Amino acid sequence: MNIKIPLILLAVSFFCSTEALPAEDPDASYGDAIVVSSIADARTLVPILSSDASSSDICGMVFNGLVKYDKDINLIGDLAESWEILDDGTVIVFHIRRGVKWHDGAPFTSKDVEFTYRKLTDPNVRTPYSGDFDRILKLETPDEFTVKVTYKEPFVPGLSSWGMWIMPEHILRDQDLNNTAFSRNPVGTGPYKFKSWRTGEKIELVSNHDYFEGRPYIDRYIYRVIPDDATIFLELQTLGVDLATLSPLQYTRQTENNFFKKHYKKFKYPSFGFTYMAYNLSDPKFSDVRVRQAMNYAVNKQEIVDTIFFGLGRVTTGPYMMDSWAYNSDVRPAPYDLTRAKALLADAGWVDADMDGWLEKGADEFEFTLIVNQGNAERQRTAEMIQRYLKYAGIRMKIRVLEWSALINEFIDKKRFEAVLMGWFLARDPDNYDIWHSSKTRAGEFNFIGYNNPDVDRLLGEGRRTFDQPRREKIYHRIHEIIYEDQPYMFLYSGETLPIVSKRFKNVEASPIGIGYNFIKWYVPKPEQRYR
Amino acid sequence: MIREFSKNKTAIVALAIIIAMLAFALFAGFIAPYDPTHIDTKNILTRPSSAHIFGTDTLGRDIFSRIVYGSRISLSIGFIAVGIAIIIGIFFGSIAGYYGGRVDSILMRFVDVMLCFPTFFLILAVIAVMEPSIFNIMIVIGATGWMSVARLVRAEVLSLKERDYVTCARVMGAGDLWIIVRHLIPNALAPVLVSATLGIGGAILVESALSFLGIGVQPPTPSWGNILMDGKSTLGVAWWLTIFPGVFITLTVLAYNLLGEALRDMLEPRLKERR
Repeated sequence: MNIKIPLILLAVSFFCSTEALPAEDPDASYGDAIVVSSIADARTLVPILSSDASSSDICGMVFNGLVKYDKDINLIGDLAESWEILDDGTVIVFHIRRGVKWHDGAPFTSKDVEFTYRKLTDPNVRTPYSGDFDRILKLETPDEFTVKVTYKEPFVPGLSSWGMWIMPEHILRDQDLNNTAFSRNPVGTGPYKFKSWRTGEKIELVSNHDYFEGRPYIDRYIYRVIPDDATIFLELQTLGVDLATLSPLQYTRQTENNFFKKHYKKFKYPSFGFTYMAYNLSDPKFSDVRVRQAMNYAVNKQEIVDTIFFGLGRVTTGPYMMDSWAYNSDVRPAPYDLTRAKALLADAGWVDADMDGWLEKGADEFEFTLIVNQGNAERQRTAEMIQRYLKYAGIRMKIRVLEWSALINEFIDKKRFEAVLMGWFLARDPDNYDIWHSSKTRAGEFNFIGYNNPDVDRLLGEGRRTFDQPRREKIYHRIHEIIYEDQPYMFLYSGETLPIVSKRFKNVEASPIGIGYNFIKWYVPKPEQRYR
Repeated sequence: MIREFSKNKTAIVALAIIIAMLAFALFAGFIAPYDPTHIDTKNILTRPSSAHIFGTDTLGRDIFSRIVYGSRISLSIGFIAVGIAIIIGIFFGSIAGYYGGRVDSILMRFVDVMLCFPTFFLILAVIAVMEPSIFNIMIVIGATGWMSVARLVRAEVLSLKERDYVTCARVMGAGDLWIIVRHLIPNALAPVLVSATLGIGGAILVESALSFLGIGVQPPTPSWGNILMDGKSTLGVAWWLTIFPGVFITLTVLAYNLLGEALRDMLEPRLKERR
């Protein structure tokens, strides 16, 4: 559950999954509402277009995929009851759950899956997720409850890619998904139904009594947009919100008192994402790999983690989850080494010829603007620290703070930036083809920096074809090495996720996948319920 | 006049505060004990102490030094923005008042239109389109604050142009430009001075508000507004980040307003009687 930091999402966050609990809790009772705070509003609720954390939070409540992850990060069925993988992994046959209904009462069938697939691969639909589905040769629906997917070649992330949320064909059949009322009034199959959305204020969902895994205990889900850390914290102090993500400062210094101990429960687990500084590689300053490597030596990441995160985070070197098998821990973070940084910059032609403390190449000073989103104090402070480190290296960096949607729409999608400080929220499968492959650079796609390395392209292709786990591991470790060497991003840190939940909610548990996996089993005992 | 001023105790205090702030701004390099952008990761959020009299912020930067340097930003934005407003206001006001008739109607309707915009939102919109920089903020605050000056000047010019010395100048062959620049504007300046003094306080507040919202002065340049913004997220653990810049903003704006009112009482006895 990623609530505080707006990041671009790499893949669907499998928010709502449920384990059949051993025994129903005797206190469990229906009712009450949960107020969740978010720093950013959703952008669109068309599931295959949603790429930011807020939109995904809501889509995760309203829609289902064919598969999902359980709390131990194993793939289990969601809308699919079971599946078979045939022909060395080129064919997957899904058997779909019977009796599932859309929120408007229409039955859910294999046609909806086929429809979603067609839209995912329609070049006119601006979805960032087409990469996984372009590998499909054909998708057939022999009957209402069977979907047969045939890939052009063995495709390892194929199964997990079907965590993609399925859309209703009967509503969207003739609509232009880029521009449809559905984006503000979605109809899904999930545990919660969409009720209302007041832009920039709140989104309200109500529980789906006919949900196929059982009626969720909490009746209403209220997603309040509070675009500021400090205000969210004030709301926590007045019990105005029930679930929020704390900043490290709040976690370590502001919530260690009796009030918070009495009313809230704090959680801590490694986040599935990482923060990086990305360069626009078509910018002549950054097209030289020596410059990027130099900047990596010039920035002391450990100090950033210690100062800004109070140690609640780790320095990362690559685009994979730090504890996963794909992460190559042999790639050591480059030490903080200013001398080496200056030497590399001098190699690349950047020297302080006029002795004014700033580097030049001919008449050009080394100056660029880093853009960062508003409302995320940690990121802004990180930007200020990077600014200081680069100043020591003779590079003048300006900071521009922008509102999130302006940052994405006006600067990232249009490639009008020099460098940007952002984060990725990672999928469990390391196949991040969409971020690094040189074909994924159109507006709205994820390789917005224009990274192009034929070796990486080839390995990415190989990685998704290789079922043999040790070999696959080698491939991703190699990609990790190459990317760290190339430094298209300056990899910074992976923080801890620090959610805080009101104590009146029971059954909230931490797990490797976060706390939201069993959300529909959360409940508030009758006497403690606060909202009608 | 000076004697009258010296009798007004509030005005003296206000002036003293303003002079102190100006000294801060001018001699920031000598007064501030640290570099305002120096990050000291060993001293994050330390309480006010003898080493850091106003404490340090989330990156270990000395708050006192940041406030001292911030006064440069705040004051220069105040003065320059108001300077821009006065120049535009005098230009439109004197032309409208002197020529009267249709010119007057058109210019004053334009002023009315400008006044209809909620200024702060206009500034927000303009800054959102342009890059937020100190320079742009000065221009935008100035360009949205000239209307009241124009009205004041116009009213003065309307009455001044009927005076005998103006007729006399005209008889002696003076052109319109000469009359406006040499005779009318100097005599219309008194209310403008009052309005300018009040305007500086207003401009400082607008800058603080913009920086507080994160679209004003960009980091790492300290301004009172963005120090205050840093403090907001740590209010529960570090009150010194919020209180000190807040006190400085309050004092400065108060001082300009009191001085402006004192000046008005002196220069415009008529207004004083009416109150």
